[in-house]
Amino acid sequence: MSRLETCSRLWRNQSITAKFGFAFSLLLALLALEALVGYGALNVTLTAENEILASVEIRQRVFEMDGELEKARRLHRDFLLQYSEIGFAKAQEQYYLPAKAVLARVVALSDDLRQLVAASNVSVALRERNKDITLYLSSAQRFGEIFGELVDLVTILAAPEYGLLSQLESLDEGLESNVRGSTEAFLLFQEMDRHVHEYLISRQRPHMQTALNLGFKLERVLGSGAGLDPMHRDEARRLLKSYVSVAGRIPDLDVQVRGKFNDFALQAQAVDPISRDLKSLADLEVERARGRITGVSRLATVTIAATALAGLCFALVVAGLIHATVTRRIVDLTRTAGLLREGNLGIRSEAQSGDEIGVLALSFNAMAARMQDLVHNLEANVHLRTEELAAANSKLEAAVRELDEKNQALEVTTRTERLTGLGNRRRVEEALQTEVLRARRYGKPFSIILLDIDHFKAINDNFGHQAGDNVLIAIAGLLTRTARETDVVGRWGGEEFLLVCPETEIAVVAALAERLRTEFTTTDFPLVGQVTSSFGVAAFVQGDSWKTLVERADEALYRAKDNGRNCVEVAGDQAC
Amino acid sequence: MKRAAILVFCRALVGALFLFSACAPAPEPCSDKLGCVDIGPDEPLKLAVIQALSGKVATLGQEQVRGLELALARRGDRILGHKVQLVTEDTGCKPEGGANAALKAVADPKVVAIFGTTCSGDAATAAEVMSRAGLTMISGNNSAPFLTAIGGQRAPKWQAGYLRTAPNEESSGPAAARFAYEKLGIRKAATINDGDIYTRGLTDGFRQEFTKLGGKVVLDATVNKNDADMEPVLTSVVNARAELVFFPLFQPEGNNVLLQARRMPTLAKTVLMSDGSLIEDSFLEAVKQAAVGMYFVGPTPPRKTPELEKLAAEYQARYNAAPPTIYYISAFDAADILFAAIEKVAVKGKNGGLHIGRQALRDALYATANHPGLSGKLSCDQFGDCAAQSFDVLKLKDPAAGVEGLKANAVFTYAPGR
Repeated sequence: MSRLETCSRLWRNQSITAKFGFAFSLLLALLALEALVGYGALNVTLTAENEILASVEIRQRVFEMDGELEKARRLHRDFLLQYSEIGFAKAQEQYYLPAKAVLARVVALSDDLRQLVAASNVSVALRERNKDITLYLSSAQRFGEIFGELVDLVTILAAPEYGLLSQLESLDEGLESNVRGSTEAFLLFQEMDRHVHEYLISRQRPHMQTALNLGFKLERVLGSGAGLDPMHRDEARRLLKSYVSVAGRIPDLDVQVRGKFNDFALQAQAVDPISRDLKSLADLEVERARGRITGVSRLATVTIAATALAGLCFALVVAGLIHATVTRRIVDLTRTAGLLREGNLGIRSEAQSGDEIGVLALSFNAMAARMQDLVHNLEANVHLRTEELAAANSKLEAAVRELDEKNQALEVTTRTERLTGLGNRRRVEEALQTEVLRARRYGKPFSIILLDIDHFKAINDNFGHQAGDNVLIAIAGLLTRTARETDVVGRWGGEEFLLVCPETEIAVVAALAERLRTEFTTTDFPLVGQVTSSFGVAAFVQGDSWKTLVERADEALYRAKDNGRNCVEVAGDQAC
Repeated sequence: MKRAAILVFCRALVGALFLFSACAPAPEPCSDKLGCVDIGPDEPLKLAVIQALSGKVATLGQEQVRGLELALARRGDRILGHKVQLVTEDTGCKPEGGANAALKAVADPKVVAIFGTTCSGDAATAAEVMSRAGLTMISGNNSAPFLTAIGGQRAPKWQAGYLRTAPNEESSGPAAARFAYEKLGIRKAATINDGDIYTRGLTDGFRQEFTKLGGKVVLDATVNKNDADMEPVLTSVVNARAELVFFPLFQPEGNNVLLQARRMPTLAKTVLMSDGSLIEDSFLEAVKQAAVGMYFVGPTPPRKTPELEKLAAEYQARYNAAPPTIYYISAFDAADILFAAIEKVAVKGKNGGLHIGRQALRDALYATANHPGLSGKLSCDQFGDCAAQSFDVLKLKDPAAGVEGLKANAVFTYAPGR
């Protein structure tokens, strides 16, 4: 398994939380890196700026220090050039004392500079020059000391009136005037004086030694008298002794003075390169710091840009990964769920991973499989149940039909008189009740006919009950055929029949009754022959109940009976 | 996740602390009253070498440097595991040169000690600068009495921290004076110095001893360095009727005095005596026969020992030349006791750095006792003298025999205190 596949598998097996956590942690790390780079760059820039400031200050101090030292040197030079002309005291005032003050400033400046270099964050090369600054400081101090010693030497040597040179000049004049009286002594004096002057010009000690040797000879000449008077001779000897003593000291002082000058030269040799190097190093330091700022800026820019680019690429990669491993699978899972909802029970999610979506996809697939199984079983059951239901329904319908038939039969049985097939008394009463209610509500007229077979008992008695029943059946048939469709014909009881004629005035009903009577009369009943009937007719009057109506029809019937039978009597009227 | 973050943070903190501690090690506390020199683990141990490396005395300066190098080589060029960096400055054998060279040396706070100088005049000014800065300086060549002690008393140019393994020539002048007075019967003597404290110290010592013995110094003359015309001063000698001229000068002044004296008939019988500064092959080669009969007063050379022969062999092997003088031996001894003192007082830090107290170093050097030096046993006294005083008066018979021939012809030895 390749490493890429291992990584891919490892990635797929991570939880969504871990994936998002990892992605956002890396993005955060990139942001932090950018912030760090920015901070670092800013820090380096600030440090470099401080270094520039420190270097500029160092350079400024070096310039000041060097300028002051140069000033001290000029004062020192001017002192040596001018003291013989302007006088020693004035030269000291004008040159020496200012030089000392300037040197004190140089010392203070170099000390400041040393501390500045030590405290500042400049380069190692510049910091290592601190020992040179110490040397500069020491040399400046030494310059002051040596200058002081030189002034002392020069004072001894050349101070007006009491300096050795002045003394020598004075002694020279006195000696010359005292030996002038002796040619030999004077010549020796002149030669000695010449060598002294040669020495003063050349500063070569052998000249002075020669002069001293001549002084020795002169002393010997003076000691032998030399033709001088005792006073001049003694004075000349005294002066010569002093002369030799003073002259003998001058070369030693000169050596010391030269040593001081040599000291100055050595100091200059040591110090001049230091200030030059310090200036150059400070310049380099500024350039270095500037270069560093530029470099760091470039580096920071490149780094930030690279980090941003990397961050962008990484964000795209992460987005792609998240899309591939999360979003796309969620969409796929949603689409699969939609298809499942639409009835595609065979659909399955292809999402396979170790994360929550993978687990969800597995659950979804298991659920879909379960649903498919359930639906499959349900259809079979429904089909089975449907068949069972259809069978039950057929049975039920048959039962219902049978029941209807039975109900109808029962209804007929309940409302039909069994012998004649006419409505029984209950049926007739319902019809009366219905018509009474309708007449009451709508004011519609209706009438009834109550008829009774005349002498029916005699028929039964004479011809038997069967004949009597046949008469009843025949009359019922006759009534049924004669009555209108809307009329209700029923057997009221025994040999009595009642016709309810809805929306029929009493005259019409009376006519109907008459026609029935006539029909009966003209009908030949088998076995029995002619049979008559008496009729009572009554019409509904508001306020009637069906009973009062029937009572009035019955009263009319009784009257017909009373009137001889086979006639029609109308309630409240005499028809027969 | 939180635990991991805490762990990372802790590691970063520990790392930062480690880096911080590595970048900014706590400086060793210094209780030395003169301060301390701290040498980092990878830093060299710096020694300033200020010698006369130009002019006629450059040979002597070079001998000092070579003696130092040989002593260092014996230690594998390292002290306590640190490389030794020699910061060399030329004094030019001039007092001002010594002062300025010392100023350069003391300006570097990493310099542990100064090895120098060649000439005593340089040493006087250099030692003043050195002592003020709290350093230690040791020489294998300076012998002027002014630098340490005269007559058991602190000498005028004495400076704390200055030591030497060259014998104090306080007895050199007296040795010459005694020889002149007692052996040669000289009663009138002239001295010529060059104004330097070394030569002046010798002529002063001569004068004092000679006068004390009953003689008279009829001339105490001075010549300047680089003076070529010595006739005037020699004329003074003639005029002073001196029987002996003691001129402890360096080259070329010593050469000029000798050669010009030999040309003056009036000085034919005058005894000429110089000192160790002219006990050099280069001098003998320069003056040749003119030096025959001349006397030299110089330190008694060390006895020949196997150790000394071994050092000479090392010298020969390293520099492919025979040592022109014996002063490399005292230079070797000076370097050796300096290294021993550094090794004794240096405190080695845990990181390998060294911490050296300046006063401690001085004290250790002053405490040197019975050190088996190649020039003899070395015991440093409170004035900085570490070598015993013993001087020979040598008479040159054959210039061709060189310094070795001259040293072999000791006619007088003066060793006060023995």
